[in-house]
Formats: sequence, C-alpha cells, structure tokens
Amino acid sequence: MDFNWSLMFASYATVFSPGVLFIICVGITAGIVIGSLPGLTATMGVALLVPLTFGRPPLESLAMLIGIYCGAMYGGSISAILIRTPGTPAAAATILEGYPMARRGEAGRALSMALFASFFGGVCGALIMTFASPIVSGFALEFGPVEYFALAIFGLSVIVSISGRSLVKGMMSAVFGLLISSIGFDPISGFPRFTFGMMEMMEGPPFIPTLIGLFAVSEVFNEVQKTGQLQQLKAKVDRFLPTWEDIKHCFKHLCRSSVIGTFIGSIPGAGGDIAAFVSYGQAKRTSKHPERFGHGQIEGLAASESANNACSGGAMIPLLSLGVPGDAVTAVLLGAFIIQGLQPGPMLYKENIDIVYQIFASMMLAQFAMLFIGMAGIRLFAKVILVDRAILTPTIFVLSMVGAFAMRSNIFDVYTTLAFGILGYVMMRYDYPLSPILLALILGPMAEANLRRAMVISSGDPSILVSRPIAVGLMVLAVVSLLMSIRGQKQVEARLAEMEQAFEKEITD
Amino acid sequence: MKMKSLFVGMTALLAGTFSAAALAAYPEKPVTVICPWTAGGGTDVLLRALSKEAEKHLGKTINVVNQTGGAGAIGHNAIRAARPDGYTIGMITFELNSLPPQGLVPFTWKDFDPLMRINSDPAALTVRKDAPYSTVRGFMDHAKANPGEITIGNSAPGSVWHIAAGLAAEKTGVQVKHVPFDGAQPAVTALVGGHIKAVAVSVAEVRGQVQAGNLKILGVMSGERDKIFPDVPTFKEQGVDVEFYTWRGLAVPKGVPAPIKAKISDAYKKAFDSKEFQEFAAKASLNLAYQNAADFTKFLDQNYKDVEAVMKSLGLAKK
Amino acid sequence: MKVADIVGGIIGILIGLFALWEGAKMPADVVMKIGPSFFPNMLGALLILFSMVLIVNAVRGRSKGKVEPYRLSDKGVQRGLITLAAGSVFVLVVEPIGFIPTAIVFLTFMMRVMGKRSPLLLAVTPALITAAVWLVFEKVLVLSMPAGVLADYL
Repeated sequence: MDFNWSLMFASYATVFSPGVLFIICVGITAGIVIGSLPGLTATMGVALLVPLTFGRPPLESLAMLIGIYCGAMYGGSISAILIRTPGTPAAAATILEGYPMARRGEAGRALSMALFASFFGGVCGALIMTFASPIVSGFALEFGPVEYFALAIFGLSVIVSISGRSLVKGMMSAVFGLLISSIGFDPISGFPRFTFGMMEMMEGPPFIPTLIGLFAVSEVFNEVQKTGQLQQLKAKVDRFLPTWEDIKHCFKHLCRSSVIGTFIGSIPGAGGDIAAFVSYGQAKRTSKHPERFGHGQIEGLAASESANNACSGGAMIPLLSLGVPGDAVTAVLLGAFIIQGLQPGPMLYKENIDIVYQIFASMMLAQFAMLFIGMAGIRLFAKVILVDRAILTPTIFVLSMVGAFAMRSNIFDVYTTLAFGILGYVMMRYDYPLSPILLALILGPMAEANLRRAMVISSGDPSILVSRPIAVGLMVLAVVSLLMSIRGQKQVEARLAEMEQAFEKEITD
Repeated sequence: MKMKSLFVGMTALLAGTFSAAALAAYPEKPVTVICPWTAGGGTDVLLRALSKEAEKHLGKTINVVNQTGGAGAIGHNAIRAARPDGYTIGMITFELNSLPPQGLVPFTWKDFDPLMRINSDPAALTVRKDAPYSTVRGFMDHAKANPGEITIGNSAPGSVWHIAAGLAAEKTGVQVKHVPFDGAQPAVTALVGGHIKAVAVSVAEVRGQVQAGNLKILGVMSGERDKIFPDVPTFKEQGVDVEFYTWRGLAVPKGVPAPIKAKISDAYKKAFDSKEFQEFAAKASLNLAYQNAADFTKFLDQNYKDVEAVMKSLGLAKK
Repeated sequence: MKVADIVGGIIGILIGLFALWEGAKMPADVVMKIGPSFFPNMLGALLILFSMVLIVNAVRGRSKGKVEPYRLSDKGVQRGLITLAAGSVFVLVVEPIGFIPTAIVFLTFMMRVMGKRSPLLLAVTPALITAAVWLVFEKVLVLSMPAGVLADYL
C-alpha cells in the first residue's frame, strides 16, 4: 500500500474541525480523570463510554474513544507519582522513580516529565503507526505461542533490575508472585488450582485490587506510622514542561523507549504494562548510575512513561491493518468499530481508507490535546500533594477500596486489596521488593499458558521452543540481559552498601 | 389476644397495600442489570445496546454492572443471590449450563427465573484460506490421514467452543488437539498467523477475517445457514449431524413478583423489537433468536441435559 | 535483619512446600507431559531454594540493612495497629452498612488518629470527601457502590 499524502492532509483538515477537536479534548479530559483514579483503567474507561457512541457518526465516536485511551494512559502516571497508586497497571513502573521524586519535593519536575514523556511517546507511536503500519503488522502475526513464551521470559529477565538491594529477596518476591499468578483455572486443562474451593479465586486474585493493595494501601500503613515525624511535603510547581537539561538528559531514553513501546504495543496481547517495565529495565541497564534507580531517577520515569504511551499507537497498528487488537483497550475499540459498521482489517483499508487516515490524524492530534490539557492541569494535580497528610492518607485508603470495588462490584476484591496491602507493608518493612511480584503477575500467566500451548501443538516435543527465529532471538536477548543485569546488580549492591556505610559513619561521627 | 390479632391484621393490611403500591409504582429507582462478562466484550455490548432501548420503555435508568470472574460463575451467582425486588436483572449465558457439570458452581439454571432468550450463535469451523480442504468432510479426512497434525483453537478450556469442537471430532471419529486460548479473539489471531490449523468459534468472531480473505468457513453447526454467509453449508448438509450453539438471555432471581417481571419483560421485548436494536444486531452480526419465558425455560432444560451429556462423553465433566 | 531474614526464609520454605503438596494432588497430563502441576511444582522448588540461600546468608551474617524493632509503646506503631483495625472494620462493614456511612465514620476516625482535633474540620471534611467520591463513581461513571442501609433512599 502506498502512502497517500494528499489524503493524509485532507484527513488532518477534517479532524481539525472545531467539532472533532472538541470531542477529542472531552475524551482526553475524561481519560485523564479515569486514568488517575485507582482501579479505573484505560480499558474500563473506553468500555464505559462505548455505549455513548451508539448512533453517533464514526469519526466523532472513534476520536472520543481514542482521546480517552491516550488520556488514561497519561492519567495513570499522575496518581502513581503523587500518591504511589498506579491509576492504571501501565503506570506501575512509573511509581518506581516518580514517587521517590515526589517525596523529595520534586513532584512538579516528575509530573512535567511524565507529561512530556507521554506526549513524546504518543507522538512517536502515532508516527510509526501512520508510516509503518504494514511492516509492523506483518511482524505482529509472527507471534505464536512460542514467541509469546519467549517474550514473557525476556520480560521476566527485567526482574533482576528491579530487585532493589538484595537479589535473593528480589527472586523470592518474583517466584512468590509467579505462584500467586498460578492460582485459579489452569490455562490449558481448566483444573482449578489453589482456589480453596472459592468461586472468586477461580481466576486467581483479581489483578487491579492486588496492584492497589500492594502499592497504595501498604503505603497508607507506612504513612500513618510516620505522622508527625515528616514535615509536610512541598511541591515546587513553577513550570509546565521539563527543563531543557532534563529533556536533553533523557532524550536517548525517550527515543529508545518510544520505539520499544510501539513494538510491544503492536504485538497482540502485550500491552503498556509490559512495555513500561521492559523500557525501565533497559534504561537502568544502560545507565552509568544504576544504583540511583529506585530513588527518584528521572530517566527511569521518562523511559516507562514514554513507553506506555507509545504503546497505544503500537496497539492500533494490528487493529487497523489486521483487525486484530494489540491490547485490552483496542479489543474494546474493535467492538466500537463494528458497531459503527466498520470492520477493521484489510477491508477497512480498501473500503474506508479515509477513516483510517482520519484515525491516524486523530491519534496525532490527541497527543497535542493531551499535552495542552495536561499542562493546564499540572498545577491542579500537584495540589494533591499539598493536602494535609492527615486528610490525604485516610482518603487514599478509601479511594483504593472504592477503586477495587468499582472494577466488578465484588466485595471479595476489597478484601483482596486489604490483604495485599498488609502483605505489601510487611514485605516493604523487611526489604522484599514489590515490583517483581507485579511483573510476575503480568508475565507469569503469559509464560505458562504459552509454554503449555506450544507443548499441546507439538504434542509434548520441547524442540518446538527453538524452532522459530524470533523466539530464539528473544530468548538469547533474555539471557544477555539477565547476565548484564546480574553483573550490574552486583555493582549496585556494592555501591549501595558503600553509601550506607558512609552514611552510618557520618551519623556516628 | 384480640388486640394482637387486630395488630397482625393491621400490619398484614398495611404490608399488603404497601407492596401493592410498590408493585404499581415499579420502577421507582434505577434498575441494575448484571453482566457476568467484562465491559466491552460481546455480551456486554449486546446488553448495553439492548438496555439503552429498554430504558425508554421502562421509564428509569438501567445500569449495566459487570460482575466478572470465575468464567462467568461470579456474575451468575450475583444474579441468583440478588434481592428479588425487580431492581436487579441479569444476563445469563451458555456457561450457566456448562459450569455445573464441571462441578465448579453450586447452582444450575433452575435457581433462576428465566425471562427471555435474546440470541444464539452457532459454532463455525473456520480454517485458513490456503488450507488444502474446503469442506467439513475434507477437513476430517485430512485429520484422519495425518493424525496429530490438526490443532483446533478455542476460547478457554471447557468453554462452549471447546465443547463444540470436541463434539464435532467425536461425531466424525477423528483425533484432534484442542488448544485453549485466552478468549476467542486470540485464537482467531493465532489462526490468521498460522500457529494453529482451525478454530471452532462463532461466525461473528471470524467474520472480519473471512471477509478480508484470510480465513474460510467450512461449515456452521446449526440447523440453517448463516445470514451473512449463505454460501456456507451447515454441518448437517455435509453429513455430520452436529448442532451446537452458545446463547444469551435475561433472567431474574427467583421470587420476583409476577407483575414486576411482566413489566421488565415487556420493556425488554419492546427494546428487542426496536429498529435501533435490530440495526445494531445486524452490524454486530449477532444471530437474534428470541424466545419467551416459557419456551426459554424448556430450551434451558433441554440444553442443560445436552451439554452435560456431551461434556461427560468428552471427559470435560467432573468425574 | 538477621532474625527477620531467617524467619522470612522459613515462611518462604513453608509456602514452597505448600505449593509442592498441592501440586502433588493435581491431575497429571498424559498427552503433553507437563500438566497443571508443572509450574506450581517448579516454582515451589525455586522458592525453597531461594529461601535457603537467604537463610544461609543470614546465618553467615551477610544480611543487608536494618529493621527498626517493633515496640508497642511507640506512638507510630500504635497508630499503625489502629489503622489496621480500622481498615479491617471498614472492609467488613462497607457492604452491609453501605459506602457513605462507613466512609464518613472511617475518615473522621482516621483524621482524629492522625492528629486532627478541630471539630469543624472533623465534621465537614469527611462528608465532603465521601460525597465527592460517591458522586464521581456512582453518578458520573455509573459504577455502583455498596448502598447498604441507604439502599432505599439512593
């Protein structure tokens, strides 16, 4: 398919009408709000608003849904940075650097970088989507069970990088997380495992409540103990965009993560959460100061945020050109297309090429709308951190519980949230890192189900695992990154120990 | 004693007038519809489209709540256990009849009060366009000649499409490998990518890829041909006597007063007949198959027996 | 941290053993060689392995970092335990009693625990926060919250 420049300009002109621009802005604003509320994901936001589009013109409907999608992806980072609550799973990696930055009084710097990185990633994703869809979509179809298994293994190799100061404890967390992910129906035989006979456990502990419990609720327990000892945090918000130095400093990571994010997004079934962690691991491995990661290192934040927003552009690629959704949100979008009487896939390119280009244009304009709305909102968001901790902390607890419940109106999810909150608190106290659990929960089912699926296809012959080039490539990458990160981790552990000794010496002196 | 009986009489009278008033005034507040499947999925979109129309006839807001999990078990259980005051309705789906034989839930369709069936989608055997066979027979012969080669994708272990594929294989006496995926969509994607040989999911789920020329349907497991693909013969026409459908319908918990049930049924029937909903269903290629409460109940009874028998013979039921 | 690491290791081993024990009860898969128990067994074994490494490291005095000991007399620890209790009560009663009353009581109580004393603040803020959360979730996003005792009025 040749690229049609004149049609592209015409599409931009169509989308650049006040009506469509307005609807994109509405979508972005709604998306930011939904994304920043704990428990409400981009998927849920789009799904909730699909019925509103029944009977509306296609471009308007799709532009609004795309706005929500992009807005929510960015919105997740706001609560991640300010209150350590991942608004969406894709923002979980943002917590690692964003929250420590906010605690250091750099909430404004973190928020503006998150916004800029989201914008940058989004634009890259939209550009790749506009110009390289046919090439990328061919790649996406190559992914079968073996490739997914290899991708999961590659993703899991990041665990070493997020293990904090003890590799053994990081591995314990990861294995524990993988065990939790094996709760529920076995993906191939359907046998219910570790369910204790409970209906609610048949699909394992619900993911979003687990996530909220581990990160947000555990921090509430941590916080109440420190009241009085901590001085009120100050948020210096004197700018809307990151400084030129910060951008320059992170530029390499922004570019790389955007490309990684777009590619991972374009693989059906792999979404923003995986993209963010892989990019974060990448940023840490290649950094000169890996020991500073986890203590508020801005390039880690830039990497994860640009990756998860680039992912949305990537996920639209297989949806539009193959009719195959790239992630959970685009799966819902597929339904919205069909209701509009549009069947995504090669037919859409043949019959409705104008709408394809209008979607490219909407995607691009949505990024600019997000940048401006985000800039206008940054001061407002940062106010959250100025709220008295005695009011904010209990409110975070209530909001976490409400968010956990809202997902599927099940009180069991509220119990899960509290249980994981307690678990998270105990683990933090004894220095077991929490992010490996999260990564294990995302990738564990992917690794297991696809390994077993591959085995079904090969009738139990393990040689299928090395029979496909992409899979072998990914596994080699996994081994390389594992070795690199273990070496890096040794350095990190040593430097951290040095720093601690120096610190103790200072105190005793 | 006298006082007491008077008191009892008074309260009974009060309660009587009160409930009669409540019945007449129904609905006084928004009504909730439980969807046992995720927001944005096929069942959810259907239910939301239908409820949007039903609101106009019921006169109050209808909120769709997604209570998901446990392969539909949680949502169905929530419908069953809801207060029988007519303010909670639910959409029941095929899984209500496939979960009990697996010993996964402590209830059956008999614990619900069915209102109406909305649609039923037959399974369709779909393969890649470049496959060397173009009939169900050809496919089965190929499977016989090459044992262990044919892999059929389905949406989850023990799911409707798993059972459908198992039934078709059993009826033709061939050995195939069933590959469960995490939903029908990933299975179709894997077929397009050439990672498996066939899928046995509904026509709606493969329509896009068939129209795009990537896949072809060998046969549908229904009594009559599909409306969108009238050229595709049924299994029966090709000499394989298999019919298998998934279905969706509305139900309320047991104990909802008859007049309230009538109001709900009436509103939803009008919504079902509305031009908007019919148009929606055509776009989403849903096979509408309305049945009233009495017919739906008979259907559920028969379907339950059929599904249980099939699952037993396929080894999917609990031993 | 030494004692904590040893205890943590023992808990890890117990969880690992539980996984192996449960895995042993899962049906074998004859066709594919690896069945439902393959992953749990492997993970159980790995967890036991890492736990043992942790214990060995701890015994050899190579634990990292320090843990502040828990003292019940400590104000912070007391607050933590009160929060745990209050949080548990919140979770247990939010469905039968309903979101609005539970949240108002919980917020008032927790603000008091965290040192707020002004009666005006304690009376107004929790109600405002609750109302805002309820409006956003229940009315704007149309996601139902537990209604509880207020079921007939909302």
